[in-house]
Amino acid sequence: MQNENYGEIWGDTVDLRHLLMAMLIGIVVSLTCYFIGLKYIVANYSHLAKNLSDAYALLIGIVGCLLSAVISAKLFKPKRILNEEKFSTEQLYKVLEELNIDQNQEAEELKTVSPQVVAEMKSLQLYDLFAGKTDKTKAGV
Amino acid sequence: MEGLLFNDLLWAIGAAIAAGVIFTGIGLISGTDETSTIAPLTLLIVLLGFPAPAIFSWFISAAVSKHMTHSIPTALMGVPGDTMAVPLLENASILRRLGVPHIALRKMLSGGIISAFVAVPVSVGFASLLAPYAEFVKSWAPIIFAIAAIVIAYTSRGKWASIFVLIPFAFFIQGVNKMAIAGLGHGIFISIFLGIAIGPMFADIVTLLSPLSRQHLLRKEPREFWLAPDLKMWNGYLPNPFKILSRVQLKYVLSASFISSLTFTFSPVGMTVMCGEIVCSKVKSLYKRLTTALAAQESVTEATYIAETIIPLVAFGIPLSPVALGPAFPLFNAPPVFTTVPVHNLHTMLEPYQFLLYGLIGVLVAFLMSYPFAMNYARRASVWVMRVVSQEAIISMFTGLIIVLSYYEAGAIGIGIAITVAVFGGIINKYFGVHTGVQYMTYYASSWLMLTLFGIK
Repeated sequence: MQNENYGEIWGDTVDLRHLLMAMLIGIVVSLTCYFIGLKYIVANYSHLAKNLSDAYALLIGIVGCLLSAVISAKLFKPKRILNEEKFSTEQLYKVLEELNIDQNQEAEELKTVSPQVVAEMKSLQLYDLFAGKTDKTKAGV
Repeated sequence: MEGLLFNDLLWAIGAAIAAGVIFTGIGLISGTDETSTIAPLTLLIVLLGFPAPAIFSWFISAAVSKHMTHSIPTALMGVPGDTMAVPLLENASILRRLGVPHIALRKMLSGGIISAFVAVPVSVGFASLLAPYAEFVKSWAPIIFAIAAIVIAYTSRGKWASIFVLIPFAFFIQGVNKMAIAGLGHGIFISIFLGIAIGPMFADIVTLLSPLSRQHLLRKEPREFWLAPDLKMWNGYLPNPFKILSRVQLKYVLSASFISSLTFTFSPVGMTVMCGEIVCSKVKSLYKRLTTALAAQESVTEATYIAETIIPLVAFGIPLSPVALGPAFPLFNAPPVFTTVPVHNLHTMLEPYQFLLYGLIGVLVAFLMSYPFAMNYARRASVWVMRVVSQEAIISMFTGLIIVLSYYEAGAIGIGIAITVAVFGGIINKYFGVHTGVQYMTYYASSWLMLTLFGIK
């Protein structure tokens, strides 16, 4: 899945051309819904107070946002690999690094954590990561 | 008499169930603002002539149910369920990237529901006690926010940079607000608020647009995500929120909900930001810190929300808090049924013990309906989101939301201001570590700071 147009926005990979189109879809679809909604409500329910008809138009605009998400999700598939089975050490260390987490300090602080939380972390397979017990050389850190 | 009580109870339960069903659904739609969803429907049932107990339990059930399900987009996709969920985004997104969005969600939900049960009796109880001090609390709020801004700035990753930009940022925020006043005749809130929230995204966009910095964010391969195995923390369908949280988390949730039930005139969002920062500075070890912070933050949101409705309603019958002026407004004023001058609304129609009873019915219904629903499907929903919903789709929705909401608030000026704040706030966040918490606190303190330091009204 090599691609020259991949970029990273908000912690996830996007195709930059897809992103541009998705943002345009978001703006156009939701504003259109808002305006059409406002026009329809003002024309058909003229007795409504202005703030109420604005609020209903906003609701319709928000439905438009959802609609643009559905359209963009159909058009542009996710550029991510979901790993449910295996613990991908390399990627997790990368995340820690990107978040500027001091791993030595984490390993120290982990010692103060109660057994209840430790058990919880172990069943989520997060304990070894913070305890620094995974093989870092293999992870290429 | 007994027949009447029974009748009221049936009405209250029925209305709470109806609100639970409707708002569990609405909460899933991210970005839905409470004022634009709960207020009109509440107005509707008031005007239809529902009995007072039914109206009150409807409102409480609606608010709690909506908060339950709006946590889902917040935790799983990083899109705020509504403006009140914005302060939780940063913590939630770190847990999402560590592969445990479903756990983040469950901690939030459990903190929230416990808090709702605490907040109803506490706020009914303190309504009469606190009433004389309302003004006092209100006048100290900006000073407390200013001190908090300095403390949070120093503890942020930016350290001295955050302290250095505090005053300039306050200038900047008040400056754009003045431009809104010049253009519209009134100040703005949603646009500035959303601008700060989407700052990091805009920082990435600007970075990618410039040939000088583009290299930092260009990628050759898709990112790999990991999702931790499910952790079944309960048997059967209905989870026990006390078992989902660790003992320390429970302690923070209980004290956070108790305290925030008292500070009912503060902004719920400001309180949530502050609570998150306090917990983060006290709890060690990343996983524990973030899950605890999220549970406590959600409980603050829930408690302030309920307290801001109940305290003015029980104590005065006049809407004196941000929530009472927003989503809960129809409980105070819905002419010709309810009026505030003279006070003729739920305040005069229900006794404090009835507020307690029907409020708890509302919470209980939300606990039995939307809480287990959101808890049970947390991980399955995460997998679905990861497989089906691309980042492009999320950003598409987010872009739409920002544009529509800021247009709704202030037209084209609103859109312009949201983007301006996003670009500036995002860059100081991403490159200098002045995170959104510092920016929000500065925002809350900014009008007081400008007035005190420079005499700018």
